Amino acid sequence: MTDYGTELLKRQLNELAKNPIDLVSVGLTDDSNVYDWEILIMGPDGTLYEGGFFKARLVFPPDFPNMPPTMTFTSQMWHPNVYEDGKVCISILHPPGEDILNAQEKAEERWRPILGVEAILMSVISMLNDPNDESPANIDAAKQWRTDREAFKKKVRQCVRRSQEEC
Amino acid sequence: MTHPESSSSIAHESQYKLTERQLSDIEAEIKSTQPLTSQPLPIVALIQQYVADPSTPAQTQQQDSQEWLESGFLASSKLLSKKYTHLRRIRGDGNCYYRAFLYSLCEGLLKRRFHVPTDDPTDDRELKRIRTFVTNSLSWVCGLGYEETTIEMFYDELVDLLDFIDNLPTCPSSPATDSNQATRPLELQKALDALHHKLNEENSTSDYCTWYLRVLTAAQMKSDPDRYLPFLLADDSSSIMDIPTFCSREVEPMNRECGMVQVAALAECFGVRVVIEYMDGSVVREKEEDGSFTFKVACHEFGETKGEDRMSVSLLYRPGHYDILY
Repeated sequence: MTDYGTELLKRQLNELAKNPIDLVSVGLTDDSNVYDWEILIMGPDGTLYEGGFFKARLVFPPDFPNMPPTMTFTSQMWHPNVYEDGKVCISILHPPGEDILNAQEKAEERWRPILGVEAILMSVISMLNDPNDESPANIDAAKQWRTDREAFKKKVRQCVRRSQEEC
Repeated sequence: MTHPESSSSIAHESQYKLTERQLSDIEAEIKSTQPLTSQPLPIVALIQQYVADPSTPAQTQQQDSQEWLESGFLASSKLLSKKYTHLRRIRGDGNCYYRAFLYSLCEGLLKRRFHVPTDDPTDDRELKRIRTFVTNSLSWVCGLGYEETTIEMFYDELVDLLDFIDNLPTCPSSPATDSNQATRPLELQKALDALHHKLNEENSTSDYCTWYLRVLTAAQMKSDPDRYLPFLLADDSSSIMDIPTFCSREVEPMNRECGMVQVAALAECFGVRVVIEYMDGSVVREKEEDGSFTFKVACHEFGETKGEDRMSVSLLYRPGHYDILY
């Protein structure tokens, strides 16, 4: 039933193995399931996340690519656009359509089948470079990012150190 | 705007999940009750939808204005029943225009391979023309900025579907003669059934090709902004003023409904005619040459409105939805 999604994911995984994106390595959590990816993201230089090795899981729904995958950091993360449970909240990972709860988010940035996994990973890197505090997932982190940058930095550095130890 | 405390972050998350679940429930309900494409129904089924249900008690009848609107729909359905014989319903999931276009186009191409309705042995030239267009479309689309690695599988699906149509056996292995005339309808029906089956499989050809038709629609709009931008500017309900934004918001995602500009773009890039009967509860009064009046359902044509040999697709539009007419 989902042969197409399987084939598409295999192709994209091969493509990313051949032409990797800077700062990201990808693999399968379990080799028999192409719908569950393990991602390692290196914190981009010049950002608060520099030096970190953040692990995440990218889980694709059975109706991929009609619907987007979900991405969850398994390493500890402190970021306005990441929920406390690690779930990443950025436009490209949201299903298409209007969201009355999230009016700031532009619909044109949302998921559509022609986007690939590469586009998702690029968006996550860009999220680390440039937190979006307009539509935060972690309100406390967003508030701290806005009002107490020093405390925010300290908390992120803790995450970075922890990720290095876990690696 | 001040941010509420973090407890509402959790509330926001759960509200979001709730909305997501509701939406997927509605989707599942539609999936389980409506096939992607129905069997053809006699056109009277359309009229029956608007005949008041006699079992409904009088006090539950709608307001006057609603009744008037209902009667407008009834009148339109009766007018359409004089022009068409059958209706094929398409699932109402926001992809109906693309699915209707795909189904009707493929069915028409297949019928022409059996020389229906014309009996012209060169009838397969539209299939050849459209295949050539689709085969060449990948480089065209990539030239407009789409990533080959992410869309080539979508492209392959549409090419495969056209191959499938081209390869379905038509009975006469030799040119039509009197002896095999009789068996031809049976072979045609078999071929149509095979196509119906293929386009009705869940999470399969119909979805895959819809993705690619969406890409082609967007590519057509991007390739000729002067032609399509005025549609966006004319639409008051849309605040989108540029084509790339419109495409990524309204054309490329699945389940996004199709407006007039997408209809025009898709018809024009395939070079086929799309005839749409607009059934919105009103009828158009037209004065005839002899001074009498006739009533009509508003009808618009898109795409290739000249060339008689071009494929033609007839659709019924009711607010928010398209079905196929025969």
